[in-house]
Amino acid sequence: MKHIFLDTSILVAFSGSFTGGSAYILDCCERGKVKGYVSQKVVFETKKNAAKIMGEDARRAIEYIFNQGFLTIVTDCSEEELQKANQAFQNPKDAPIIASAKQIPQASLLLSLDNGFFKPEVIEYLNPIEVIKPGDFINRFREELQ
Amino acid sequence: MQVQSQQQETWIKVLSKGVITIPKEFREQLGLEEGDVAKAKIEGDKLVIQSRKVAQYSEYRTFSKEQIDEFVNEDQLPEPLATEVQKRWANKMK
Repeated sequence: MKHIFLDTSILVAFSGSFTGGSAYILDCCERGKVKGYVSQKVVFETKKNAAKIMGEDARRAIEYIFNQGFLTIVTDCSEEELQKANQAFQNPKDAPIIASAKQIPQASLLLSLDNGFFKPEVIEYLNPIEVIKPGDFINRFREELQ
Repeated sequence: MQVQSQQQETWIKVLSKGVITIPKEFREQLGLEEGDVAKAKIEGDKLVIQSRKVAQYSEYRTFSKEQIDEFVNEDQLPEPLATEVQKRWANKMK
């Protein structure tokens, strides 16, 4: 089974549409086809975005995801790891999330729709964890997900 | 050195090389412990010191409606997969 870290953009995309790759992957997490992780900051960021710019349906969807408990919420990264991330790439908003993914030993993939996560310096920092978009993930692992 | 203290405000003395002591009650309130890294920044004529947790959580991504629309568009699945996943979520969210 794949262990994947989900960026906030995945949860935000899910809340905006139930017909997308993010919705498909979250469903796979709930069905136990993949093991999904988020960090405390991803939860915080998702809820903040949900509260500010999303409608009632989106907020309900986000509540459902966190209430069902099928995503493992990991503690935010250590200070040491955050410093490494800040040295590798200059983005104080992304660094705590990306660094948290790096601290999950089983995680082999980070799923995001945020183009900032696909910059060469981020990819190099995360190696061997691969950054991938939901559609590409589904195409590559379709058999495992069914 | 603490000279005068109120609930959220205090006078402190700047020592050699700019060393200051953050009052104990402030450290406790902010969760600052020995060895922690705190963020210092100037805001106008004020020096602001934030605990890492507060600083980290004060900087987060707020996605605009346009950005979310971009995510959703890029995330779109082909048929019949899109309909299949939509049905699953519609059942869950009833």
